[in-house]
Amino acid sequence: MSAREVKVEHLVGRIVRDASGIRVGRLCEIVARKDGDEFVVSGYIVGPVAWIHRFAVTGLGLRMRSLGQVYRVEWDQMDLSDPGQPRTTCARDELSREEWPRRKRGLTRRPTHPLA
Amino acid sequence: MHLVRDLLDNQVCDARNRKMGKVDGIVLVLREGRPPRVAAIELGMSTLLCRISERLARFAARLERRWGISDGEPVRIPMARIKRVGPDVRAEIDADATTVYDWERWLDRVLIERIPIRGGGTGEPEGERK
Repeated sequence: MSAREVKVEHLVGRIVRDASGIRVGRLCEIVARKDGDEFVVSGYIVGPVAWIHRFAVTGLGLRMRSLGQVYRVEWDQMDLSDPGQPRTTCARDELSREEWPRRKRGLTRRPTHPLA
Repeated sequence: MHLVRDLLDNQVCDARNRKMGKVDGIVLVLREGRPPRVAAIELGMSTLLCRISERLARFAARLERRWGISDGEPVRIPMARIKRVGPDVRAEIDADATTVYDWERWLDRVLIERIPIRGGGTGEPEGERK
């Protein structure tokens, strides 16, 4: 693997810190969008308990306990020069917060969707 | 598209809808002053084991080479060949042209073909065997 390549599976779960070393949370998702003929990363979802959302725990009422909020780090706000220790280039307070999308109840199998 | 939810660990099917395995890895290419590019997905035991330990992955790759199973390198499918994502990831490639079935072929050669039962090992229906 060359130095310019990063594996997503190695990034997911890493603790992200901000520019001053304050912990932001664990990286739990990477959002990509289509840009011409290629897919590019548009942002990263980071949250203090973001990892818990991988286990479909909507029923635990995380939203009510204000645990459903995550940080959205734009691609230019993330420094991946050391993939083992990702850092944001700004302070934690400057990051935008968003509600983690609610899982659809009763939908046991998500449909596939075309990329084109 | 969410890379972890829509791609990672999901089933990959080839152009003929044959199962090729799961997405074991996703490769990002970092670029100066531009957003990282999603370059390819990877399938293979070494990529999967690399999540646990790089030494374990190297050991498995060495074992695959020594036993003549495969070259130990993961199968890399460029994102341009990925047509659908979701629980099933559709790749516009021919699975036979890759090394994804090397383990099955090796097991067939060293174990299944030697099982002394009628129809065993060849994958052919019993009625078609001579």
